[in-house]
Parts: sequence; structure tokens; C-alpha cells
Amino acid sequence: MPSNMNRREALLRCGGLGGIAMSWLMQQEALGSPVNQGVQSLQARQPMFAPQAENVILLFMGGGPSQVDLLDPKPAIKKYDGQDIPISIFQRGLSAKKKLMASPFRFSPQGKSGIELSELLPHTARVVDDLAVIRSAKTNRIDHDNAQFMFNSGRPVPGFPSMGSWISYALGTANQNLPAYVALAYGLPNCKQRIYSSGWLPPLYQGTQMKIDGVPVYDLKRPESITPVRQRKLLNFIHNLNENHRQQHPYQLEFQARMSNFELAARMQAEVMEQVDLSTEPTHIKKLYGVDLPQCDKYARYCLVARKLVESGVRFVHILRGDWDHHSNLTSRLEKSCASTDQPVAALLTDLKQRGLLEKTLVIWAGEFGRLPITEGKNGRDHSPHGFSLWMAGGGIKGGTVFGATDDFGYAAVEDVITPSDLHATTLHLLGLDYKALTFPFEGRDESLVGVNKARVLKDIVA
Amino acid sequence: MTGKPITVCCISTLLLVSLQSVCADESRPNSAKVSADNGSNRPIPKQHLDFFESRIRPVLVKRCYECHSADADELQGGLFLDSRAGITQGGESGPLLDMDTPEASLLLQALRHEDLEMPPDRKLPEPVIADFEQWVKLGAPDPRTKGIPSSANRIDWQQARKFWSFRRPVRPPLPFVEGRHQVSNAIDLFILKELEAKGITLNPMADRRTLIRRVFFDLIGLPPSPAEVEAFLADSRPDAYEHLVERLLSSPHYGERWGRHWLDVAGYAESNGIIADGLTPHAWRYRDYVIRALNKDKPYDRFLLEQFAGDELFDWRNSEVLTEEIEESLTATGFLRCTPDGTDTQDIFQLEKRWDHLQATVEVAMKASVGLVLNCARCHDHKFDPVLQEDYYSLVGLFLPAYDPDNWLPCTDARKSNWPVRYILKAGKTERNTAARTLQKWGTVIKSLNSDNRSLATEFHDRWLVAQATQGKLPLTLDEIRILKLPAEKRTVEGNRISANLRSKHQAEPEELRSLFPEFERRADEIERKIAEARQSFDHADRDRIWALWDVSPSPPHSRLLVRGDFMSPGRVVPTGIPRIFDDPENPFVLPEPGSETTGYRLALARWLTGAAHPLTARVMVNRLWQYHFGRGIVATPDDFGFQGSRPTHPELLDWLAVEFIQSGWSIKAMHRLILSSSVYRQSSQTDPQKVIRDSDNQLLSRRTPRRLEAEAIRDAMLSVAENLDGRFFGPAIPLEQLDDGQYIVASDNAGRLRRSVYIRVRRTTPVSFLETFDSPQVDTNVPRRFSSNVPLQSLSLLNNPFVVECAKDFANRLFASEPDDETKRIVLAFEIAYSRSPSPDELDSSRGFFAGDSSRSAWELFCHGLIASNEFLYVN
Repeated sequence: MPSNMNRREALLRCGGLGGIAMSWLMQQEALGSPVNQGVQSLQARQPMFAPQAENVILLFMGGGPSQVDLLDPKPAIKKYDGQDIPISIFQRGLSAKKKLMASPFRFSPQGKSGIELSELLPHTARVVDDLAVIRSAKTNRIDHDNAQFMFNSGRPVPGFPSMGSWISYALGTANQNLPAYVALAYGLPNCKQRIYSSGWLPPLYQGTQMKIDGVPVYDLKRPESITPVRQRKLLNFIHNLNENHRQQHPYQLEFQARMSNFELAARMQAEVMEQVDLSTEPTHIKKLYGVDLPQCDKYARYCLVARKLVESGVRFVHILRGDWDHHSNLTSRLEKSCASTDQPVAALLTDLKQRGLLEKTLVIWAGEFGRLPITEGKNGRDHSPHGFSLWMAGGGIKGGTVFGATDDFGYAAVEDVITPSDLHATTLHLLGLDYKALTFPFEGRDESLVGVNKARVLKDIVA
Repeated sequence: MTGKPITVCCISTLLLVSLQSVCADESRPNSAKVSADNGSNRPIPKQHLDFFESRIRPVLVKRCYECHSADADELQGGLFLDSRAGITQGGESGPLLDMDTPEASLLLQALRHEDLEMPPDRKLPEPVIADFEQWVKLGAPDPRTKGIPSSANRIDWQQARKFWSFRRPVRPPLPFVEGRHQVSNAIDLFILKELEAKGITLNPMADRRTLIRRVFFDLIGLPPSPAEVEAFLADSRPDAYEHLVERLLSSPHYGERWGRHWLDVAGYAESNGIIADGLTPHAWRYRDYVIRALNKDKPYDRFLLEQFAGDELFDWRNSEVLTEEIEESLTATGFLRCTPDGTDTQDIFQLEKRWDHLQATVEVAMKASVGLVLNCARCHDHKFDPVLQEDYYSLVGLFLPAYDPDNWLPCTDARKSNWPVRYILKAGKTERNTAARTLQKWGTVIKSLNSDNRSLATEFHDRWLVAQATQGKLPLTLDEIRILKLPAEKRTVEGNRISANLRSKHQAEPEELRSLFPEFERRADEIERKIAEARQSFDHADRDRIWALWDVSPSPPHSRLLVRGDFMSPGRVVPTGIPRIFDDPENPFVLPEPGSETTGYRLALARWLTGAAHPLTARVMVNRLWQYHFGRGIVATPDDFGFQGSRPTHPELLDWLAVEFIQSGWSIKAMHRLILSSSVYRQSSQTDPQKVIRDSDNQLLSRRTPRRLEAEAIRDAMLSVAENLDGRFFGPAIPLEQLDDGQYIVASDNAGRLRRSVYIRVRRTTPVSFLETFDSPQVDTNVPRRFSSNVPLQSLSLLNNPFVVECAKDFANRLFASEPDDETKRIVLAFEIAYSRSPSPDELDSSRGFFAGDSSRSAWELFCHGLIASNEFLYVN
């Protein structure tokens, strides 16, 4: 790690970008924040420039949702259904047969923008004018876990910090009674917990996995053997011991912070339980999300908790699931996956909007890759990293936009191709962070979320 | 490219000289021979020369030089087209010319836009391409004789080798200081020199209670008992402290504490880290090896030698007895097995997983031993350090005989049908070979029986389909029925496809097949029985196994540079060896002659690493030791001693220690003795405003900084004060279990659940939640230093975690067992156990107040709970 002085000098010398990074760095240091690696904190910090969004909800659809059946209509596949795909396809392990498979689902234009969506997404159709649909994403790995690492950390291998960790590191969080980065595990994708890893960033920026039933965060529940009165007594006792100790080390700031953490912890016990308690939500809101509907009850609850968390000031909410890997029985399984997500997701946007939260909350819907337009087995599609679709909505996003395109068969992104790093750069930009300037010293480099990858902010979808 | 262009510039002015000013190729030993030959030594006939000058050269200048010449702003693909030598050598994608089949030359393919597309924007006109075809057929006559500016020449090596960490450490003269009275040994001179320059000095010695607690946690990771504290206070010998240090260094718990540090450096984990994160069941033997090695103060050079090449130190393959020494040495190579290994997944991604594992291994090994970060050079020449991409693949070449992506051994035999796998059976030659043959045999039998089983099920599934159709329960066509009735071997490809489709469409339950077809039942049972027998024979032949690395093939494969780091684009062959920045006649790297059963490559690497003249190995290790003793290394980036790493705060001290380390015979314990006897180690933590101003973050060590215990030490300390610590050593990892609230704990029914944390299973995806909360790292590569975070979740765990509550309860029980009657004595004892000191009168008063009105056992449990959740317990002063 270069010393702070070296960093300052370096930043001063690099002009415009350095200016932003410099003032930000000074602010970070003033806050005693991670840059100097002493006391690390989750206190809210100012971004580098005026942000268009403050929070992020990442609806991660692990497994690889099929773009040509959901967001990227391709009439040519229908026309040549069952015939060999006339363009060359590169994929290892692919069988010799490369027959196109038409989507079993109809597409039609929706909303004022007229963006074409699959019939599987009737609820999303109602909020389509809030979405920027990106049809030209590509990634560099074809297997789930590597592509999931790529999508979340910009590197196809484990060990690097996820986007949520970078954002928590940069901005801290508004509500100290709740974690900065919450990972709601509807289901774990292939790369498991490592999807919300802080990599080599300090562990406090790691996602906190929260369940929405039972005890949401472990060690949250007071043991039965300790009554509330006794716990208060315990807290007071610890406080006294710590206060004595602190007085002998007046210059050791972390002792002070550790003392206030006990009070925070005591408050968290109540506050976190409130976050997952949906009994106080009005019936019409629950109905909007589809709570109690058999096809989507569980995901509806996750989306509703996500809204509550963002409303309470959590910086980054990551809903994890991994059931979009439709190698076979695509028709029925895709129907099922969509039925379980479509209404809750649309309701989340509607609900955020009616509370005035959508304008400061960036919502991202994406998987780690897409699927091939050709058939696998009888009714399946194999992974495709070459071209896939995702959407973004909310804070700073130009709604009703379509960005980029794949070829005639939805195989490869050909126009305005974007990579996970572009998505990262754009997300950071919307949060008021320069993706080049947001760095952390690691192995002698000032590492960033984007690293050595090429990246750009997708200005065309930014309002 | 990166977010910090400024740093790139600084380094380039320092290191890189412009391309034009360089011409001669720096030749290296073992340099790979370039195969293409375009007749460079023969005189060129005039008409060929004319052809080149009129048809070829103008096109090269106009369309190619922009990216492929010494004058290019940014050279593309490592290819120079502005000299005969450049064309002969080719670029990252390999040789340009193929003189055996000229029309297949890469140059022509690229011009035709077949695979590569050159020029990339617009294809050359057909007649021009035809000219190039003609030219290549003529033998590519080319009069341009200038040399290739090799990428090696872009770096001023002489200058680069002057960088502090690439120069050999020499023992510096001892500095003169004013405050002689504070000097305990040479270390203090170097520290005081810097402090005095700032007008400050060391703190006085810490008191004995503080000191014994500090040394206990530091050396064995456990708190001293009240009796041990008393004994130390009462020890009036002048060298009481030295005796204490000596006693702790010879405690077997020392290896558990310091072994854990080295396991961090190695990136030790007991699972493969990929998708299901399967367990590596025998990894623990390596963990035990590390603990034992540290306990017996195995010289560090030997320690590295065994870990890099323990398999090449002995002829274990031909030894009839697997001696303890051989076993230990083989076990040590577990060091090179630690990084995630997903190569057991039997799918199309195997090749990239193999490369992932190989590269991660090389990188961790080099970071751990010499503090050199190589990751960048996977894809391109290192931007900051003088390491070329070619150097990286040269180094990879040393590991290829063991980890050859094209000739790979699986890492587990999870399916019980793979043998050989990457384990060595724990037996001498004959027994091992017999067992291996038997395992291989039964593995094959199991595989084939499984296949029989599947065919049988298919056969009767088809019969079932026919029966269903005949009974009118399934609407099959006559054609389909005809196909299903054919025996499998007589079916066409199409027939196989149709029948497979029918089977997947109409599933049959095995139970139904059994009841319908007695023949199926009989034959299925027969196969099941045979499988069970085969499994039993397999298990019977099996032996304990060593998680080790060894050369799979004695004939080393060529190491090829991967173009842009992409394993799908192997480029030219590179010489095998060490990065050229380390070329040094005084510490030469010698590639061994081809051996009989092992290449000796890794042994050669290890011998070079541990040569007394190596500039980095000793420095990197003494810096690690310093870091664990003081919380920060003399170099703050323990894995990076390169250009981007931190500079040492006390360079002379680092060199002095490094030289001392080598001269002590690489004794780690000697280094501990030295460091622990210094005044800087023993000083107190008190701080005054002067010190805060002049040494704000204590880089100069003007005082001791209290440090929070690492996760493992917190757990061990809690067990220890509860007098619950199970002190048994070694053995298989203690498994985990998951509680209803999602957290992972040490399996509650396991007999070893109260053992030290170093023995708990390290599964990458399911760390013990309590340890994770206190920053035990997620092991993805290796862990050069621990972070110490401070979040409310830690307070939650200290308040509510069942383990903490349990320890508090047992701590209270211990108090009552020792002092059943006297409340005051119990309070005093509680402080002595938890803090290694008695309570102050105020503390005694307020503690008595705590029990006013409620002195029940549960109130005492709460009291103990408070003590072990407090900062004084969690921090070592």
C-alpha cells in the first residue's frame, strides 16, 4: 500500500480525475474511513459528484434467463424454426446439431415506448416505460460460477470484491442499525455466498445474508436464558468495563466506536425484525406484490422486504436466486420462473415510484448470461455468453429505452455491445462515483471494480 | 486501462526506454529456438528483391507499420513487420510463416481474413494478397536486416535491478543513538534512530502483567492462567522474561498459533472452492505438517524446499519403505495444492479450470515466498514491475510437469471410479503399486458395472414402452415400436435418438420395471451386488493418502505464452526458468538435466529461492514475522515487495534482520527471540500528544498499539478462560453444522468441538459464522494480512451467540469451583482469569454492586459474559 502521501501526490498530478478523487480521498480520511486502513466504518459518506441514485436493488436472476424468450424478440428464429442456424456459432462442447428453436412465446409492443416484451411478462409490461432494456450484453465465461463472479465483481474468478461491497466501501450507509449491504437469499446461485463477497476489501463491506423468515440475521435473537432486563444489565456492565479501559487509552479511537456498537447492536435486535415483519404492511400493498398468490408468494415477500430495507436506508439490496438455467423443458420452467417473479418485480417498481423512492433507487434485473437461440435436447437452450438482455430502472435511468442489439438470431451482441464492467461503471456513475477514481490499495495497485477491463458509462440510458 | 494512469507514467519514465534507442536482442540462456527460416543467410536473387521492394515493402509500410513496427505508438500482438527478423519470429499468435505448407502460413490466413483479420479495418485487395502468396512461396525474401526490439529491451534491466528489493540485503552498520539506556539489542538502534530524528523516544517497558499477556497471545495464542502470571511476577531472576519466552517457544501450542499464520500465507483451505465446494479430505495432513515444522523450528530454507519440491527431495517412487522423512516431505507439497481446484468437474470447462488452478498456484507460491505479484503478467507485460509476460510463462513452465493442463490428474475420486488421482497412497513402493493397480482395476470395474446398469435400465425401459403401447396405454407408431424392439447395437443413430426421446418423454419407475419384469429384477440385483463387492474391494485396497503434488510426466511439456492470457490462444514457446529480473551470476538458477521420473524443475526453483544470495526470500519472511509481532510489517504489503508495494519504514532494520535470519541458519525461533527481547517489543502502550503528533499512526513504533485478537484467538481465549479448551493436537478437521438461523457452528456432537480453532474445518463457502464475524478471511487465494473490522454484528455476536453464552456459563462454574464461598475472592479471580490482573478498588466496588440484590448463579454468568465481551479481553495491549 502506498502511503497516503504518495496517493495524494499521485492524484494531484493526474489532473481532472485526480481532482475529484483527491477531494473525495480527503473527505474519506477526515472521516477516518478505510483509506487509511485504521478504523473502518460504515458511516454514510458523500459521493464524488452529484448522484442520480442513492440506493441499489439488484434482482439477480442466476442461471441465465433466455433473452430470446423474454426481452429480445427475434422473428428470424421463428421463420427458420428447426433449420440450421445460418451464422457461425462458437461454443465448446456444443453438439453438431445447431437447429434454431422458435420462442414458444409471443412478443408484443408495450407501453408508450412500444418496447416489445414476451407474453410471459404481463406485469413488467405495465412498467415498461420505466425500463431501459439492454439487449447487447456479453460476458467472457460460459460456466455459471465464473460468469457470476464476472457479473458481480468484474473478474471471472473468486476473490474479488462484489459491486455491492465496493458501493458500501465508497458510500457507507444511512442507517447504522442495519447492514449497508444486504443479500436476501431467495435461492443461492452457483457461486453461493461468494456472490456477495468483499474479496480483499475489508470484511465489513461484505454483504450480510438476511433471511425473511425465522431469525433474519444470526445472533440477532437474544438467548432465552437472558431476559431483556438482564441484557440491559449486561450492556451497562460492558459499558462500564469498556469506559474504564478506554480512559487508559485516550488516543485509541476504535475503543469508542466499539462501545457505541453495543448500543447499535441492541437497537438492531428490534429494527431488523421489523424489516422482515410484513404484518404491518397494508393489504393492498401485499396484494400488489402478489403476497399469498401460490405462484409468487415467496418472491413477493423478498421484493417487499427489499423495498422496506431501501426505505430504511440500506445502501445495496441484492436478491439472489439461481433457477433460470433452462437446459430442458424450457417452456414450462420459464413460465414458472416468470410467474414467480413478474408480478413482484413490477410491483416493486410501482411501489417504489408511489413512495418517491424510485427516483433515487437504481433497480437492475439481470442474470450472468443468456441462452442460445438454438435448441438443446428437445425443449431447452444452452448457455450463451455472447449476447443477452437485462434491464435497469429508477434513479438516473432513462425509462422506455432500448439499448443495443443482437444479430438477427439473438445469438451475439453486435450493436452497442456492453460488458459487466460497463454495467459497473454505469452503476457507480449513477451513484455519483467515478469508476476510475474509486480505488482500494491491493497488492501494490490501486484496484478498482473495473480493474484493467475496458469500461464506459452508458450515457445513452442515463437520464 | 487502469484507474491510475499517473502511476504508469512514473514507472515508464523510470524503467522503459524508447523503442528506437534499442536494437540488439538480449539473449538468454535456454532461449527458445525460432523454427521458421526464410532463407536469411542466402543471397537474395535480384528479381526476388525487386518483387519485395515493388510489391511487398510499400504495402507493409502503408498498411502494417502503424501497429507492427518499432515506431508503432502501441505495438499490437507483439509482432514486428519492419524487419526480416520480426517476420521470422512472429508475434504472440505464433510464427507467421510456414515454409512446409506456405499457403497455410498465418500471415496469409490473416490477410485472407480467415481467422485473424489483418488489416483489421479493410481487407487488402485480392491482387495484393496474391502478391503476398507469391512472396511467401518464394521463401519470403527480405533484405531488411535490422534487429527486433525485444520487449525485454524496453526495460532497462540494469536500472531495474537497482530497485531496493531486487538488491541483495547486506548487513548495514549499526546506527548511533542518544538513548543508549533504552537499547536492548540491535533492533532498538534502528528504531531509535528514526524516533530520535523526530525528537521522540521509546516508551518505558510495559509492566510484567501486560508483558506476560502480550507474549502469551503473541506466541501461543492463549491467555496466561492466574498461576502463570503469579509465577512470572515472582520470578526474580534477571532473565525471567527470557525464560518465559523460551518456555512459550518450546510449547507445542506455539506451532498452532504460528502455523495458523503460515496457513494464511499459503491460502490453506479444505475444500476445492468450486460450485459445490467439495471437501478435500486429506488436506489436514498439510496443516499438521506446518504445525510440526514450526514447533521443531525447521529451518525456513528447508521448510520452503519441502513445500515447493518435497516430492523431488527423495526417490520416494522407488523406496520400499515410506519413511517418516519421506512422508513428511511429500505432505509438505500440500502447499501447492491449496488454491481452488475445480478440475474435478467433468465437463467442457475443465481446461479453463485447470489453467485457473495452475496460475493461482504459481501466483500464491511466488507471493508467499518472494513477495512478487505476478497476476498482471498473465495477460501482458507487467505494467509496474519489471516482469514480462514471457517471464510469467517461463515460471509457469516450472510447474507444468506437475500441473499440465493437457495431461491432468483429477483432484478427487469422488465417484470412486477414478484412479490415479492426486493422492499418494501411504505405503512403500511395492505395496503402493499393488494397491494402485488394484484400485485402478476396481475403479474400472465399477465404471463398467455402472454402465451395464444403465444399459440394462434402458433395455427394459424400451421393453416397457413396447408393452405399454401394445396394451394401448401409449400412442406409439409402428415405426417407433419397430425401433424399440431392435437390440441397441442394431439401431441407427436416428433410431437411438428416437428411442432416447421416447424414454425421456415417458418415464418409467424402476420399481415398476422390477415388478413387471422378473428378469430385470434378477439382472439388476446381480449388477448391484457386483458393484457393492467392487466397492468393497476398492476400499479394502485403499490406503491412507497424502495430499501432495508430484511430476505427472518426467518429460516436461513446453511452456507457451498465452496470448492475452487466453488459454484458447497458446502462442510461442518460451524458455523455462525464473523471471529475468533475477538473473544474477551469484545466485544462478540452474535448470536440471532431464531426470528419470521427475524433472527437478520445482526443486531447482526452490534451491534458487533459498540461496543465501537471494534478494527477497529472507526479507519477505522476516517482514512477515515482524508483522505478526507488531501488527504491521516493516513493509506494509507483505506479499508485494515490487514497485507498487510499500517501501520499508526501516529499510536498514529489514536488511539487518534478513542477514541475521540467514546467518542463524534460517531459524524462525531465533528471530522470535531477537524481536521479543528488543525494547521496542517490550515497551508500553501509553501515548502522549507529542507522539500522536510526530508519529501519528505509529509507523515509527514510538509506542505499542493495542491490537484486537484474530477470530481464532478470540474463540480459543474464550474456551481457555472457561477452562473448556480441549488441548488435543492434530488430526482430521472438526466438522461443522448449520443451525436453524443459518449460522455455521462447530458440530455440536463432535468429540473435538472444544478444540483449538486451527483444527476446525476450513470450508471456503461455509466458514464458522462466529469466526467470520471477527474477520476470519474468506480464503480465495491467500491471506497476507488480517483485517480487523469493527461492526455492530460483532457486538451482536458477543451479546447473543450461543458459544459466548456457553463460555460465560462455564467461566462462572470455574469461579465457583475455585472459590465456592467468598464473593470478593470470586470477583478478583474473575478479573485475574479474564484480564491477567486484579480489579482496582473501584472495579471491585462496582462489581460488588453488580451482585447487589441478585447474586444468583445466572447473575455470575452474566458477569462473566460481560468480562469476555469487553474490549480489555478482546485486545492485547
